[in-house]
Amino acid sequence: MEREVILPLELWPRRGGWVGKVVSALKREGESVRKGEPLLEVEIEKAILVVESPYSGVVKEIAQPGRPVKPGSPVARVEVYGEAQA
Amino acid sequence: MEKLKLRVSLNDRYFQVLRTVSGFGIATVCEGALCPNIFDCWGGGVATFMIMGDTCTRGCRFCYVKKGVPQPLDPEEPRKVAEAARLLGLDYVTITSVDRDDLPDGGASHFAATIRAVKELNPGALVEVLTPDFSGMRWAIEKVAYAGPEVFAHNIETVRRLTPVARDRRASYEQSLEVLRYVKELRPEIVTKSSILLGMGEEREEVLEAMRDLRSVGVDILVLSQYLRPSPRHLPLAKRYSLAEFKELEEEGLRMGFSYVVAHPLARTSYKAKEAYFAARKRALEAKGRL
Repeated sequence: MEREVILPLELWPRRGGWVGKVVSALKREGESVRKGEPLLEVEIEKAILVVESPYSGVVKEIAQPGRPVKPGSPVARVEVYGEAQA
Repeated sequence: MEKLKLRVSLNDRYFQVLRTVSGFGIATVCEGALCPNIFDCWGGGVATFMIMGDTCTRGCRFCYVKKGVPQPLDPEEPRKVAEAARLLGLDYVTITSVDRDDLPDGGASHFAATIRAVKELNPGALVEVLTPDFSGMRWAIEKVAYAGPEVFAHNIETVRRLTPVARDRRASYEQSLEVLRYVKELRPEIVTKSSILLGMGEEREEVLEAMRDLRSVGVDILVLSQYLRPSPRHLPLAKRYSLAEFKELEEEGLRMGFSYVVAHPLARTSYKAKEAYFAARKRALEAKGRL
């Protein structure tokens, strides 16, 4: 089934207020990705965050460069291997 | 030069740290300052506690920690920090704080109580504190120093000329040097430590002057790191230093007589503090052996 990948709320968990933007999608739609593999890069003021995929599967949708994001923002959808369709 | 890349990798230990600190309601500078090392440190089971709340009374222009009117002190916090350290299995406990200019002693008694509680509940644990300047009040500095931390850190933050630009108007270059000098005079066995953030517009000669000034007040461990602007509302970034420039300043620092110099873009005062402490002690012992 498809799973949403979000920019984790647990990044600096009790200190919100930071924002960023996607600067590169490291996978294309239709490409496979392994759990823990870099999925996309998000630029915040301090640094560039390399966001890993929390799932192994096929990328169905991925945020493109320029998209503004904050903690909790959806950044991709992955068709997860080994999970039956709901 | 491009911004540094941070791999966002949240492992089980990261979540264990998160559950522990948030369960006790203890703030961490890792979160408060948007520290770039949080994934590395929490992922290794280590955090730096930030006592006396998450709101600072000072308005330094480089720092992301919340500023404003702080909450009353939690008298249970020393015990909570001690228990959190025990749960995380820390044998080297790093404790910093917000500035509390609203308290008559700047929070020194609370700092001292926290050091004592940590040592009581965690026998053998070493404690490193990173403190405010306590407005230069000697009796407040004494309270913390006599509580027995192994390392007493206080940050000069930047060079003399940029101090009024970068730090709160109540902070001063001389006052910070005096805090460090007084700790060393009071308890020479305490390892002292201070950090300079580079990239705020300082000249090389000014950095060397600040390093010499820190050494002249007996500072043992110097930390040199890259300023990273936390938001567009903060002090602009003037320069990104290369690894070669950090290396060159590290060598200068060692020639000046610091026991240890941590020089890296991502170095922060409490980052890998245990490693820096033991490396400084080893080097100091070797130097003694050569005498």
